[in-house]
Amino acid sequence: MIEVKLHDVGEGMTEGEIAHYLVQVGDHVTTDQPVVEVATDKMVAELPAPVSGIVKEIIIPVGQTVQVGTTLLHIEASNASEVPVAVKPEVSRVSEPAPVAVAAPPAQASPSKRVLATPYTRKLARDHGIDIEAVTASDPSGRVSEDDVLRFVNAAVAPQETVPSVVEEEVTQQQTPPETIPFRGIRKQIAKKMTQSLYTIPHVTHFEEVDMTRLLALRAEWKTAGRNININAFFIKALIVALKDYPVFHAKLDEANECIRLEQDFHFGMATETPDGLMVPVIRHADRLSLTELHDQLISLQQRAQNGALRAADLKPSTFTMSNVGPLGSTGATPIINYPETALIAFHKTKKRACVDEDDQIVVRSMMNLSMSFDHRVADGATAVAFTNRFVSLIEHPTTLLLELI
Amino acid sequence: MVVGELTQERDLLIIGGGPAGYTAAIRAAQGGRKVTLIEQAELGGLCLNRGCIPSKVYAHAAEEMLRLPHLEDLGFTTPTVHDFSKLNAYRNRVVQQLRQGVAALCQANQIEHISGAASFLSEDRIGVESGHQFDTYRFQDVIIATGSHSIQHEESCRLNAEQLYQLEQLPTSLLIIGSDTLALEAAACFHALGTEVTLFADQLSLEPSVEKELKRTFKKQKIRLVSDVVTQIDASVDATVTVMKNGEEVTYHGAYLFQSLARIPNSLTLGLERIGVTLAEDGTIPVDAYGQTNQPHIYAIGDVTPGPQFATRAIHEAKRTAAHLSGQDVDPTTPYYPTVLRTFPPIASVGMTEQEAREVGHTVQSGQFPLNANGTTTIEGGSGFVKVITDEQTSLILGIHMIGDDAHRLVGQFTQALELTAKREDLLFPVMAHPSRSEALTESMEALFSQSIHLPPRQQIGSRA
Repeated sequence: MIEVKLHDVGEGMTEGEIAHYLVQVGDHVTTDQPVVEVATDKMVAELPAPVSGIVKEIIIPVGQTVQVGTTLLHIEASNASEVPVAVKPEVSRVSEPAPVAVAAPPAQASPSKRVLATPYTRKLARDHGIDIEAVTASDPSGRVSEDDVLRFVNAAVAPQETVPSVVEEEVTQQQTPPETIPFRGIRKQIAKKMTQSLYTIPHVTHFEEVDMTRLLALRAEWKTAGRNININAFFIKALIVALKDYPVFHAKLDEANECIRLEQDFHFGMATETPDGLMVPVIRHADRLSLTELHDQLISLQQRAQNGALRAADLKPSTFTMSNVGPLGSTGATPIINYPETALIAFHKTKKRACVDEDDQIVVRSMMNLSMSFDHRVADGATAVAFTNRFVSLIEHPTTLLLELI
Repeated sequence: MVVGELTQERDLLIIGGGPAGYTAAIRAAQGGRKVTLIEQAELGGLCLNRGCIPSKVYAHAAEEMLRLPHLEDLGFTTPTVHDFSKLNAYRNRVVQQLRQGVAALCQANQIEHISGAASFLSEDRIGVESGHQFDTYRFQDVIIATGSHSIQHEESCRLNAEQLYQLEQLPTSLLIIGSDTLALEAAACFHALGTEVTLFADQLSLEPSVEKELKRTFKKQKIRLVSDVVTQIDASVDATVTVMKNGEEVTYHGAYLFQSLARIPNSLTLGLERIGVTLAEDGTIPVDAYGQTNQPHIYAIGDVTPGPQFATRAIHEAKRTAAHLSGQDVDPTTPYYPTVLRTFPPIASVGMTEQEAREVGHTVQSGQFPLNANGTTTIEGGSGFVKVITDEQTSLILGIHMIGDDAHRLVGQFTQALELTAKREDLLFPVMAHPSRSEALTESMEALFSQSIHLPPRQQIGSRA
């Protein structure tokens, strides 16, 4: 009997919540087949089966949070010769047929209520261990065909990421059913968080434009001096100053205890596109870092995110989240707050535009839009505008940041 | 009574040697089980010895007798005298031959046959009583296939379904109460053989078009059909049935009375209460789609379980459960059971009537073709029709009903169509031999679109509702 334990799937992970079992007791599993999904605060990982065999027991129920090292399930290892994999690989991957569990129709049940399928088609379904009632008929009359059964079987055994080309060919000859993308793991986690946020927080988003010309000039100057500083590092510095002045946007609403908790530590969540979807790696204690240190951390975080190599330590809870989609484009958005935070700010593309200066002259300036979403339960529009005004003035006059040096 | 000292070990016990029991025995033996078949009377059960088979011998004789006038048309001089005792002798030969066939098959499949009445002693032990002998057997699994019986009455002139086809002499007159298969077949059969038959029935519970046609046929054949309410019956000296007609009592007399009553499942003497097998209120044993009772190693099939009481179902369930108990992955689906009435002409039905189809939400489209427009029927004489019920939207075939010669032979084709989930095109395209009765099925399909070849436009019988 092999024990499948929760092991550290990210650096420093100490515990995880059982999100979903991908197998049932009695199922055949093959080595490296994912058997369980474990969720941490920011990510979902699939644990693979260490051996081929039969799932004997599932010990930890779904929803329970357990420590690393806890045994989650037992697999009875099988010799390759005993497993019918060699003969019919698909059978072992499909969950156990449940003829006994299916509520048996009474012997005198009207045949009109039964699944429309020929006896051969029903046998085909039984041979593959599937319940024909679960098979969707492609024929509008509801008549389940052999092709329907085989398509169902193939869909059940197809690996998550890729659909075998055989199936694709078959499908194109048929009615071309919609292609499916697995809605699991990180995608599902994102959906869950977004839904929770939008259904809990009354969102308001307001827009502002920022003249980036001076900041870009300063940055260029430092670059010629050999010090390259990522633009996000400036944003973080300016945001920390503004958040200190308007701490309600750096807070959590604790409705149960009827209070708004103002965060004292500055953990900056950086909404980041990764190959797996949106992730929010965090720069912890950003207020204690110099611009150079911020720059270095931003670059290494970005690299790990792009390589899909984010560690659990990168994904600890943040206190404020920003999203810089400027490099990708866009002029505005209505971002969803990273629950349970109270605000989120998104930066858009910086473009050279004709502006009117203080002397009524038309001048070329580098302008950027920002969108700030906030929780209208904890703050009002005027405060939000005051906050962004403070931020905008710091960016438009970057040298004033010097005044905030401790 | 001598109680056996040793309990003997057995693998699969089957209680009852009727069509359910012996079919299950053979199929389980084919599947590798060691089978012991316990029957208290004769192998073949009521079906072979006193039910289906004897009644079909009579039906065969009756059918031939009704064809005699037609043989005259063909130039034969036909016999006019019928020797009822010879028919009985023939019946006995047929029954004996079939029974011996069952015994030989059991032997060839190495099925142990024990004579005696079985009852459960415990969850895994059964006692078999035969005269003064009482033996006990321990078993792995058991299939209860004990069937059903009709009530036997005290009155000398009152017959039950089993006695009906065992009379020494053809009754001069017969009063029949009932509208089910047994009653209608008995009425048609004895009338054809020469008995004066009075049938007391109101609704015949057949497909409405078929019912209309059968009533027309009965009238033509001069079978007296009384639809008034029966108020009194007596069968002690001779048989009388009294009905209330227009407020007045009218009494009919006959040599015998046959009333078709509900059959009683043979479950009460098995000691099932001792081992915790649940019985329904009507005495049937509830089972799941594989025939399993509430005890995992105890199965029941055929008439002793809830459902229509006919051998067709019993035989199907026997094969299913025996294969299941032999470790095979069987299809638990309730099949389309064809029903056959050996009236003259016969009736065969499978699937839904128009009303049943509408009740489950179908938009019904039906087509009908009269057999008098069919070449073969014109050659051989006869009447009737084929009627198909389809779903207008999906074009699925929902039911096929026929009254007419060969209906019981063609119903296999109808059943296959339904099991193969046929649609209109699936029955329109296949070619039927010409001339043959099967062409009527194609023409009934064509009637859906008023396109039967052998009917003028105004006589096409298709309907939508």
